Amino acid sequence: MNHSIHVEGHAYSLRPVQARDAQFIFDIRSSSTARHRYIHPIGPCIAQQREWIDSYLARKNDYYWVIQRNSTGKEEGLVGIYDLDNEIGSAEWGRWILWPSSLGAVESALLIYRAAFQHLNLKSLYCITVADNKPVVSFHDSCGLPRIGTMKGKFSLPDGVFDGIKHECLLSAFPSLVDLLEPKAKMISQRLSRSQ
Amino acid sequence: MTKTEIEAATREILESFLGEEISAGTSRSNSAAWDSLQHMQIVFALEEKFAVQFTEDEIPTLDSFKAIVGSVIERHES
Repeated sequence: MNHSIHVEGHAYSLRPVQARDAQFIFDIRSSSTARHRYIHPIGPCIAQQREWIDSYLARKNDYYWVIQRNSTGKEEGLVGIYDLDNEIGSAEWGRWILWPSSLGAVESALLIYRAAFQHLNLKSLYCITVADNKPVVSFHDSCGLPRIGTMKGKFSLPDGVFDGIKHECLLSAFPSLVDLLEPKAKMISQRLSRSQ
Repeated sequence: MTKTEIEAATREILESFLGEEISAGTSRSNSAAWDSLQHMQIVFALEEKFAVQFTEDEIPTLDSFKAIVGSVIERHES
């Protein structure tokens, strides 16, 4: 969806994906690291990525962001909220990917929850993670999010069929999540400032 | 600090955050609980324990017991 929601953090921000991000999206999603075996494969060329972005920009209830480093303006990752159900105020977040060297995981997770609850006014936000992707499953566990279900055979990927683990954050739990992640995001930001 | 002391302290920090027994071969790739949030908490705890400051480039490389011990030893020797 062509939206204008910016979410600013201490060291990182979310800015809307635009057509010009096609090369970055192509590069990061096709880079061959072990962690990327759990994301859906993309087309073999940049032209297909541009087509995907065009169709995404025309779509409703689908928000995609670049995770951007504030101090450099550099793109370090991607994240999205989609499948909004406006009736019940619920949506899924995912498409979360960062360069391996990025320290943006903690703050980008906080920012996506801010996007959901403070910008989109959702009542709940869930994510479904490939069960085999243990570090990401653990991350959501570490954030204190309850696992609300296992979805058998949810993901069909080149490496096989995988179950999905669903975590959910209700609006009522958002303050606790902020209490947990905000201090960590600030510490990371201070560390990044000292490194420059 | 001696290497043995560094290893013991590192093991203690990793065990406290990961909630599992730490061996010389423990790494992010074989520890299910070693996620991005735990990683930063581990890094901050290591910095406090060893009075060191890792660079932004170093932080992602501290992805195993061995890598951490090696990096701390290098810091203390320089």
